Amino acid sequence: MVSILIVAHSAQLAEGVRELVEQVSGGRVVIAAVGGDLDGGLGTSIEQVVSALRRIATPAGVLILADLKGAILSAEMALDEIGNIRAQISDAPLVEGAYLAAIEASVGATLEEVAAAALQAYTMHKLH
Amino acid sequence: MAETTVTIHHHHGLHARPAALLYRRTRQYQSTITIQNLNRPEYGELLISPINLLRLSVREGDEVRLRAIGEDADLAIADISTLISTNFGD
Repeated sequence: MVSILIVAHSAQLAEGVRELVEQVSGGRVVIAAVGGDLDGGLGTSIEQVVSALRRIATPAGVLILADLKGAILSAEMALDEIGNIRAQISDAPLVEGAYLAAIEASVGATLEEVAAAALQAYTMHKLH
Repeated sequence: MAETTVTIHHHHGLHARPAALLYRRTRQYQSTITIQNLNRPEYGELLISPINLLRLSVREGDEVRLRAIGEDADLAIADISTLISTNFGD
């Protein structure tokens, strides 16, 4: 089953998103959250992303969701460092993307399907 | 084809956990299963998927029409309406 990694500039933000999507995944999906720099400040740490990716790596793959561009850059560098791992970085908005990805992953969907579900967030407005 | 109309009593409507439970249950069937929020018919009849359940804005008290087309349609509709009428196990 595809696992999900949340990367945010704040540990609390990453953890909050993880808590939210953990509930909809019904405990079926492995979801990790990393945020903040190594000193506990705001930022993202490549080391933390590398270690989280190694922890939750699965043959089905990992979908990475990020809050801001800096988190994308850290994720890219982390993937470069690890090398051989099945993972994809999502361009989806963090909260909606993680929510949709977690539900899709929970039915045993492929990494491509989970990534596509996350990107569907761009097709809807939340104000109605 | 099988079809039923049910009222959503869950206080979250069809969002978050109930939406996820509903989607997971529909994926257990071969049939194509759609949903329409009869209180907001302008959103139309949509395939049950996580994004479509967000789009439909189903709230507590709304009535939804479920339709299934396929070999296991009757079983699917019976099972899904039970899931909803038992309030998703809450």
